[in-house]
Amino acid sequence: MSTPTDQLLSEFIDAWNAGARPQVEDYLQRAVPGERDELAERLEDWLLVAPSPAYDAQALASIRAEPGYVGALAEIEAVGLWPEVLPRLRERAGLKLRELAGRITAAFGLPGEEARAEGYLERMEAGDLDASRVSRRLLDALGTALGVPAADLLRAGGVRPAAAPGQALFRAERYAAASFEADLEALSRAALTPAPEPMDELDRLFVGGPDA
Amino acid sequence: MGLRDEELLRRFVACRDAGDADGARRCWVGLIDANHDRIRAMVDLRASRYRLSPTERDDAVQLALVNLWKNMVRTFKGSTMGEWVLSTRQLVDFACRQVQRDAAKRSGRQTSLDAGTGDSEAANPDWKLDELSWQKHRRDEERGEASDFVAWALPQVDDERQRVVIERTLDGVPAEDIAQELDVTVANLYKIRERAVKSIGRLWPRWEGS
Repeated sequence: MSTPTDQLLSEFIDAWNAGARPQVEDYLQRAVPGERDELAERLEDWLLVAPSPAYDAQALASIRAEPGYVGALAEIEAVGLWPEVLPRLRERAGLKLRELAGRITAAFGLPGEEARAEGYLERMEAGDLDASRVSRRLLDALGTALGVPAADLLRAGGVRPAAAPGQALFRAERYAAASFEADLEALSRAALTPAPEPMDELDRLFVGGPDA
Repeated sequence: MGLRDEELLRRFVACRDAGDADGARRCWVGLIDANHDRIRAMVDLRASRYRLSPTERDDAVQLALVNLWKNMVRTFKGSTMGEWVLSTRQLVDFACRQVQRDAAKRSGRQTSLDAGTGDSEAANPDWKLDELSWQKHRRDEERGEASDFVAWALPQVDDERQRVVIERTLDGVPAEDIAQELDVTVANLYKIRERAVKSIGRLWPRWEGS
């Protein structure tokens, strides 16, 4: 038997305020089919103004174990604050991206690699490069060019001690839940694919790991 | 959204501006602890429109959270939760659309009509987020701290009983207690509360356009 939408909305609100973690799906299912859209709109109205509930320890642990939460945290740990900090420091140093790339290639004796270095730097600033894979040598050179200690760049990148191999292997990536099957396929294809080109010096600086 | 959320938001901005990634991440975790279910519910409300499977809903939550972090790291300047929740809703929309597109690419599944394909947003979904963030910050700067939606909206709810009900509801008071306070039946309270939530919801477009 279906329940009126006003009652369902109120039940959801009271459960929300009590920190009982109500699921919208359960409430929509209980509504008259023709009234589900209306209920969904009211639930959205509520969610936009609803106070954050005071969750107990058990609820909080459940939230932190949600796949989307776990996966997001893993991604964020790889990005840190570089998207905010690096462009600001570069601007302060009065350098264009190409000029910074020039400083880096000069520091490592890599003439002719400015365009690739610029591409890597662009990815760093966009948060698309894993901070834990950037070499300490590069951070030293970047720090010199930008006028800050390399340790500050590390701190802004949020780089932590490397994960143990097991942790690294199972770290969640974007779309972890849906892409498991695709990953298996990719692994089987990879097993049959020739090894990639070895990293050159520039690759090692940007993605070769802290000791590269 | 309590003061705690607003305090976490302010601390996040302070840590970010000081280049303290660990501090910013701690504040972000606190915010997401408190707001994960709001984001999850927003995703669930869109799940049928975008035909998202249960695992794709998880992916949409993850993508929304990551984009939220990126937007907060890159451009967020405000400190009011009203704006934060509103921009979160936009991020949830984009995340659901993006996950649907990615799933369609993987499976050859058709996207729904309202998702669109082949546009510049599909080619580079971040441009739209950046543009929205920029617009939002401009509004933030124009309106400053007074931009908190609830504080703005409540006085504009004409019906006295609706206003009391929404205030008490936002204070976390259960339906039965509010009904007793107003001397109405619980069934009546449900109706008033639904109308009150609807009244508040109708004010968003005016606030966004103001």
